[in-house]
Amino acid sequence: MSTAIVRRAGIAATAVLALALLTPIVVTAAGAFSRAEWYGRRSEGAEVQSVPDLFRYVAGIWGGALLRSVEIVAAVVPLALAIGAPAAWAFRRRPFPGSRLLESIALVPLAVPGVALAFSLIQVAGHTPRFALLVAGHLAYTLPMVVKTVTNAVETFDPRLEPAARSLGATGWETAKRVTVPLLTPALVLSALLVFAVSWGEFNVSFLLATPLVQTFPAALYVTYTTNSFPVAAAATLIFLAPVVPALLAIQALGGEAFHRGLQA
Amino acid sequence: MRVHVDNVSFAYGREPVVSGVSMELPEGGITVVIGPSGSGKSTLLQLLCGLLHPLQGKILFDDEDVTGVPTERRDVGVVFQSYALFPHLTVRENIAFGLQTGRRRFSLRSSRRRPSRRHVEERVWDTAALLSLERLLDRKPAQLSGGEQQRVALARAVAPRPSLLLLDEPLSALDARLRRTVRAELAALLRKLGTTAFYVTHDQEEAMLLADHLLVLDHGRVVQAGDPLDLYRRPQTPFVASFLGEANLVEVEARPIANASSVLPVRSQTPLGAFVLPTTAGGGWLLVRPEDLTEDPCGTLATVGDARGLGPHDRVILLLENGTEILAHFPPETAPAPGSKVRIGVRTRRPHFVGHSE
Repeated sequence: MSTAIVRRAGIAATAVLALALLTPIVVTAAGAFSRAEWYGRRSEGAEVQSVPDLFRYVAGIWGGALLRSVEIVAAVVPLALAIGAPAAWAFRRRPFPGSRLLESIALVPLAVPGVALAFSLIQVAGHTPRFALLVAGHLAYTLPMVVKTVTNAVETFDPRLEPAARSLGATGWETAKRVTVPLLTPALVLSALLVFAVSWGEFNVSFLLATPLVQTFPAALYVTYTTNSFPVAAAATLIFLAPVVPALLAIQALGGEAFHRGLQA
Repeated sequence: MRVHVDNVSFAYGREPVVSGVSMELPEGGITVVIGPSGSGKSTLLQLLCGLLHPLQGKILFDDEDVTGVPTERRDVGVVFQSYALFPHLTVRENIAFGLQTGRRRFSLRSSRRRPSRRHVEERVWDTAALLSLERLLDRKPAQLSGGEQQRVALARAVAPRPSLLLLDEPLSALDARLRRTVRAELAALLRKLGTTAFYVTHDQEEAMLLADHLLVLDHGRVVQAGDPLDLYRRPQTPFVASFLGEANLVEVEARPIANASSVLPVRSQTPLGAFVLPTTAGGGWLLVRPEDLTEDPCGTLATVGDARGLGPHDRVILLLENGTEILAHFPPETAPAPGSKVRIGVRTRRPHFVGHSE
């Protein structure tokens, strides 16, 4: 009896949560695809007559920021994996004096406000090209996720597997290629998706480091919310969400224990 | 392959694990190393396969110094305690792994080219047949029982035909009943392969069954080495005596000998009667195995403390008149009742004497 109540309460809470999360997206979608004159679209004038026009218009004004975000993600995802994954492996398999401390330090950026991080980056390396600074800021935020995900995965496999491969004549490279990387693949895919989602949506650091010429798409979204009409902002938001939603769904699917079990079986 | 280990030492930090071990593994024979946990036996195995490198000393494979050579360039196969099968690969791929690595061992003699696919397939099939794994080739390790995993681990290690096979407590993960059958199969297989083998265990029965040459390790040192039965009958220290099976060590007191240069055996009185012992300036122990004791009308009087039939023999605890507890094995269903008095004697005329070594 009481468990039935608890279950119903759980379902109700989940429904409220889903509603709270989905409503803005539904409203946004409605805004982007509705007829422009429903909203205060006058500021955009005659340029926005139809839905295709709307998206063309948005692409026209924010295309640069969109491209910049794509470039940043394209740089951040491989860099975060290339730095974070080997480091995570070494923390567990080749610990050295101070590696525990280093591992803890690698997680610190998660707790530092983006504003502070952005200012310290400007302080330290203000003359570096902005694009490089943005990539550095995003790396600081995403590396901890890679390190955490991959160290967890390394812990789940038998530390004797790599020595076993060596004893069968595999060199260090062969061992990495045939044993370590295949076993870490789910974790690597998961961290790539996490890094992608976080970097794509990162606002704090990006907004502060942005210049009129180097601007990321989330920073542009902020500007569009404050200056453009609702359909324009809504269309921009949908463009932003398009790659993120599949990524989040994939994370959900991969994060499950089932994926790891599926790999073993 | 002959393996020669010369005065090898290893330490984790400041903790010595292996201290000055020298040994010779006979070619084609099974050398078993037995010792309590922490005696350094697994470390010794890792030194042989090159996963660890000695701080001091030398390791020679057929007179070639391999001391600093990494694992992948040594011609060894390893069966790990936890098997360490690759979980993402099928049984077939696990067995083939060592045939497709950079070392390319088994083709080394004919050519340096990577072995052909057909050659790999044939070798995998032959090895699987040797270990009755034919029907499991497409399974993943997680779908196998413990005994099957153990066989795959062995197949993977022997498929490249290594010159030295190293086995690190390969049966310890199996339950007792399975261990017994697998142990016999393993012994037969190792003899059939004829590869020089180095086998680490803490199980005395396993050691006696498998060893051509037995080493007893304690605190990182070889305490005694030799023929397994010889070690069982003639241990040099009380540790070896009691580690290899059950042992009654009957104290023999030191007796000042008038003529110190005397090398003649002397007759010594012990709680189990008088025996002719080697000349002993210092005292020591008489080794009496439980199976050495028998009912003897002329023997020492003892009270039966506890008796229990175990099947193959009856286990009897006897109390001598001076309070010494003695463990005896009687033939099945011949154990006297607890509390009764029996006279016992020692079957062997000259039991082994273990002297104080220091």
